[in-house]
Amino acid sequence: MSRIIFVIFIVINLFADEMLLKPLPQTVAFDKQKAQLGKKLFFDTRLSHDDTIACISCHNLYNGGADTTAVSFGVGGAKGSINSPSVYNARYNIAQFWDGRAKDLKEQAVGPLFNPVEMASSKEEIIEKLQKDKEYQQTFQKIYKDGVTLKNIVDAIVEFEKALITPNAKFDRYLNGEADSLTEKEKKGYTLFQDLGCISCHNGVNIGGNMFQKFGVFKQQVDNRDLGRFNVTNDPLDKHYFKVPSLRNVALTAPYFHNGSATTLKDAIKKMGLYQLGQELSSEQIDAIEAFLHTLTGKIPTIVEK
Amino acid sequence: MKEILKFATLSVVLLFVLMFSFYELYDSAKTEQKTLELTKKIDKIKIENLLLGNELFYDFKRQDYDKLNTIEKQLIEDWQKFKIKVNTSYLNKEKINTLINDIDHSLQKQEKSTRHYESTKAIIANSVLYLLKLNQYSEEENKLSQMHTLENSINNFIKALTYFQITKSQKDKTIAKILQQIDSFENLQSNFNVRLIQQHLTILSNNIDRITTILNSIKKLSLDKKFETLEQLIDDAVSTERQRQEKLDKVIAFFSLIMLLGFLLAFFKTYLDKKQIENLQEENSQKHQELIAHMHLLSEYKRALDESSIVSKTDLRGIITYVNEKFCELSGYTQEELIGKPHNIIRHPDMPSTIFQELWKTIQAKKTFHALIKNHTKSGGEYYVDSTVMPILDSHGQIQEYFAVRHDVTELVHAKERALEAEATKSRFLATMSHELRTPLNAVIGFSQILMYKKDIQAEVLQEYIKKINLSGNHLLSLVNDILDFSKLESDTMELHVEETNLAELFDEVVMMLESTATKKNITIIKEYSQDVLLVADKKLLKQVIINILGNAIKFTPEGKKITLGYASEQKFHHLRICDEGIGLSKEQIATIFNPFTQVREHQKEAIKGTGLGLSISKKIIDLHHGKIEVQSQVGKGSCFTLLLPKEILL
Repeated sequence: MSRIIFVIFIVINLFADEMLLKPLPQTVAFDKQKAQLGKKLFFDTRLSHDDTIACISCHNLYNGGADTTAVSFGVGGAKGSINSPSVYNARYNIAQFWDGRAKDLKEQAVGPLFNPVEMASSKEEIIEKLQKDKEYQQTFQKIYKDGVTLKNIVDAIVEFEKALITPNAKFDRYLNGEADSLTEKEKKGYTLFQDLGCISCHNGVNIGGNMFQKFGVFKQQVDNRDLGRFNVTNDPLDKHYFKVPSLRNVALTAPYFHNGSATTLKDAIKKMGLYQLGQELSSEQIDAIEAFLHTLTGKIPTIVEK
Repeated sequence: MKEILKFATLSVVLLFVLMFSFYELYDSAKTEQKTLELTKKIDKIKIENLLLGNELFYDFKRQDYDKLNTIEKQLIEDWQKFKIKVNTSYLNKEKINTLINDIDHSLQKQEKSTRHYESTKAIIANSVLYLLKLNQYSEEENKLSQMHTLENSINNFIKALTYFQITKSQKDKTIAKILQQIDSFENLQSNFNVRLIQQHLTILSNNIDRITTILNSIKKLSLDKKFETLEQLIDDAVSTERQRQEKLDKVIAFFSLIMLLGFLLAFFKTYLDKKQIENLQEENSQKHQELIAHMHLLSEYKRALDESSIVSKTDLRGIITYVNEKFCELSGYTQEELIGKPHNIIRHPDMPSTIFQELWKTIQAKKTFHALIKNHTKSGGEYYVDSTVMPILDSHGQIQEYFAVRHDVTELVHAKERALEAEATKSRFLATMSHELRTPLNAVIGFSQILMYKKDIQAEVLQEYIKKINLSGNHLLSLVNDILDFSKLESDTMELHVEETNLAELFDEVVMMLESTATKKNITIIKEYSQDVLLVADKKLLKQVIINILGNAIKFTPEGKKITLGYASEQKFHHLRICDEGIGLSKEQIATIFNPFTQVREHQKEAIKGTGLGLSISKKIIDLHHGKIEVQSQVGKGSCFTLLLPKEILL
C-alpha cells in the first residue's frame, strides 16, 4: 500500500499541477513610440546588406511569425543552417535561438543583422543608410538623445518584439475557465498531451520555451550533425540539446524542428512520440493531439494589424 | 596686492580641484557600501535557491521552476550589476576578481545544472509515467499475482534509485530481473513492448543517476562559501579603502589647513601692509603738514627777514640773483636794475678793496663773513650796512650760491660818530673845567698866600688883593652854580615851576640887574614891547635865560651901541627877541655856541668872564619849555637871539 501511495505521490507531484500550462496575458506593457519605430525597422529591408531582406522576411508576422521553408534564405540567396523560430511570444522564452545562445531579445536581434548568410550587414552600413532617412533621424532624435545608433535600433526592434504576443487562443480561453471553448476531440488531445508526457517539456506560459532538452531521447534523429546547446556550453552533456520550442501558433509555423525535418504537424507529433517519449502514437492519438495544438493559435496583436 | 590676489585665486582653484578629485573618492566609498549590501542580498537569494534545488526534489512543480527561473534571472542580473560596481570601484580587486570569475563560472555551471536537472526530471517523469501505465495494462490481463510482482519490482527499483546509492551492476541486475519477469508473462498484450520497457527502465536508471550527479555538482560549487569569502574579501577591501580614505582625509585636511594658513597669512600680510601704508600715509601727511608749517614758518622768517634786513643772493661769480624790497628801498635801485649785475654796483669808493678780497676768501672757504660796509645809493648817497655773507651749501656740501643779510646801521654809525664827538666834548669839557676852576682858585690861593706871609702890605694893595680874592671866589661860585644847573639840566632832573609871568616885568627886572654894566659901556637898552604880555613859564629859569643872553649881548657889544628887547606874538609861540649891535657870529660859531664850554675864541678876552655854559643852559631851559632859540647874526653887525616860547605849555 505504501508503494502505491509513494507512486501516486510522485505522479501527483509531477503532473497534477493544473498551472503547468498558463494562459498568455491579454496585454503587456511596452513603449508605444519605440515599438512603432521598431515595427518600421522590422519591416525595413535597409537593415540588410543588399536591401533585399528585412526581419519580417523570415519572421512572417502574418503567418505565425516564422518562415515557411525548412531553413531561411539570406542575402543573395544564401541558405541558412536552421529553421527560423517564431518571433511571437518570444519574450517568454528562456533564451533565444534554438541553442539558446542569446539570453534575451536584445542579444538575439543583432545576430541576424550581421550573419553573412542572413542579412549580412554591418553596424556602419546600417547606421549610414538609416541616417540618410530624415524621417528616421527625426524619430530617433525624438526618442533617443543620441539619434541613430545600433543600440537604439536594437532597442526599438526589441520593444516592438515585446509587443508581439498572441493572446486569446481557444486553449487560453479554456484555461481561463471557458470549458466549452474546446471540442471533445481537442479536450482528448489535451488529456493525451498530459498523459503521454508531452507536457513534461512543453509547459509554462509558452507551452515550451522554458528548458533545453535532448532531441531524440529514445531514438537518434536522422540528421545528427547539429550538436545544439553543446556549441554554446561546450559541455558533452549538452550534445544534441535544444531549446524546447513553444507550441503556441504551432499550426502556423511548419516546417518543424530545428532542422525543419518535419513538414506537417502530424509528422512532427509522430516523431516527437518516437524520439522523445519512446512511444509509437496511434493515428487517433495523433489526430487528437493535432486538434489540441490547433487551439493554441492566438490572435495577431493590434500593432501588427495596423 | 596683485600678488596676493593671484595667490588667493590660485589657492581657491587648487582647493576646488582637490575637493573635486577627492569627492570622486568619497563617492566611491558610498559605492563600496552599496556593493557590500548587494553582496548580502545576493547571498540570501543564493541560499534560498540552493535549498529549493536540494530538498524539494520530488515536490518540485512547474511553478517552482518558474520561481526558480525568476530568482535565477534576478540573481544573474544583480550579479552583473554587482560586477560592474566592483569593476568601477576603487577597491583593490586582485583577489576579488579571481573569486568573482570563479563565482561567475560557478553560477553559469549552476544555471546549466538547473537546466539539466529540469530536462532530466522531465525525462524521468515521462518514463515513470510509462512504467505506471504498464501496470494498468497488466490489470486488464487479469494476471494479478504476476503483475503485482512486476509492479513491486518496478516500484522497488524506482525507490532504490531514488533513496539509495546502488551500483551500476546492481541496477543492470535489477533491470534484467524485471525484464525476466515480463518475459515469463504469458499472452502478453501486443501493447507490451519489452524492448520499450527496458529502454524506459534504463532511462530511469541513468537519469536518476544523472540527477544525483547534477545535485552533487551543484553542492560541489559551494557557492555559499564562495559568497561568504567574497563578502569577507570585500569587507576587507572596503575597510582598507576606508583607511586609505582616512589618510586622504588627513591629507586633505592638511592641505586645507595649509591653504587656510596661507589665506590667513596673506590676509594678515595685507592687513599689516595696509596698516603700514596707513601709518606711512599718516606719517607722510604729518610730515607734509610739518613741511607746510615749516614752509609757512620759512616764508614768515623770510618775511621777517625781508622786513628787518636787506637780503640779497648772488651766484658763484658774485652776480646778483635776488634782492628784497628793503635792498631796493635803501639802494634806490629797482630789482630789474640789480638782478644780473655784479654786486659791486653799490660798492662805495671809500671801501678798501682788501675787505672784498677778505670777503671772497672767507666765503669761498665756506665760512661766514661779517663786516660793516659802506655802500652808495643810486642817487649817490651813502649808507652803512652790517653785512653777513655766507655761502649756501647744497646737500653735497658744495657752494650753490651766496647769501647776504645786511642791516642798515647808518643811524648807528652816525650815532656812534656823534657819541664819539660827545666823548670828545666831554674830554674837552673836563679839560676846560679844570682850567676854568683852577684859574680863579689860583687867584684865591695866590693872593691868600701873599696875605698870609706878607705882613707889611699896604692897605690899598691889601684892599686890591682881597677884592681880587672875592672876585675870584664869586666867579668860582657862579661857575659852580652854572655847572650845577647844567648838570641838573643835563641829567633831566630840573623841574619846571610854571607860573604866569608878565613879560614886561621880567624884562624890567633883568634890565635893572644889568643896567649898571650897560651904563658903564654906555649901551642903550631899548624896550620894544607892550606891558600886558603874559607868559606861562618858569619865571626864575626864563629870567636866567634872558640874563644870559642879555649879558652876552652887553658883553659883546661895543660902547655906545644899542640893544633892543622886542616881543612878537605869533600863532603858536611868543617871540622874545634880544638884538644887539655887537661883533656878530659866523655860521660855524652859531652851530657851536650852544655846546657847553664853547666860547668864541676870537672873544676869548671878554669871554673869560663867562663859564661857557650860559647858552648851553639857556638852550636846555628853553627846550624844557618845548621852545626854541633861533639865532640870526651877521659878523660885525650884531646878533639877534629869538626865544620861541609856546603859548600853551604842555608839561
